[in-house]
Amino acid sequence: MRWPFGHPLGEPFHVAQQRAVLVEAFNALYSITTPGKIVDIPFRWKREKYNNVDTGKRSVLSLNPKSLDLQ
Amino acid sequence: MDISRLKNRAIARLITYFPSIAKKLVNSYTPWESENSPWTPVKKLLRDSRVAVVTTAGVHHTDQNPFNMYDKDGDPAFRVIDAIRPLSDLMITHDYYDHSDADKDINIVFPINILKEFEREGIIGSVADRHYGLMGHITGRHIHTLINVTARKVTNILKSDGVDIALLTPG
Repeated sequence: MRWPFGHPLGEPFHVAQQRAVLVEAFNALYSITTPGKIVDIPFRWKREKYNNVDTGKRSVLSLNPKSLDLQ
Repeated sequence: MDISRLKNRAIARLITYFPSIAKKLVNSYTPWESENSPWTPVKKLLRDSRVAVVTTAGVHHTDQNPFNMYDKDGDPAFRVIDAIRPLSDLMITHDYYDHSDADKDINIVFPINILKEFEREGIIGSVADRHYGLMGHITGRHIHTLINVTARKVTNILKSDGVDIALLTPG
């Protein structure tokens, strides 16, 4: 992500954004199968509406344990 | 605060507000690279996994020794963060990135509240009781200490705590 240093989870108090980043991190845990792999996620700095973000494979709104069990 | 710390903080602000400067800085830096990376596939479902945070954002409790900002190679030690204590007991000591936003909401570098939400919602199995604060910007002679002493100690404690997933966050 092209976000400023000091903001790996996003903006202060932006819970939806922070949740979305963590969802992507956990998804990467199950989707990556080789060491050193980097996943670029498409979140633009301060230009996303996180309630409507659809990362292509799954919507953050549809977050549930089942959707995160990708293996 | 001495001049060198003020200078480092000023640079940290510059690279936060001017991404082009940050990019030049990153491109000019030659990181230490591992010759081989051991691979451990995930074997547990997320909803059954215990999660801990390992952050290099300089997070520690207010009553712990702050990270050493006077050693130019950084501070390679770690601080144990107790998840039960309130967020008001946490602070950041790190001059090499601008943490003014993280000072307002530490979850942007140490997402403990979100993980607790995920635990309540059954997305993850549980949040570990202990988490780990380290300092980024480790260079020179401290790289060896970080890899061979600190990382091993933290890994052993994570294992003894039954942690399945370590979430690493930078500053």
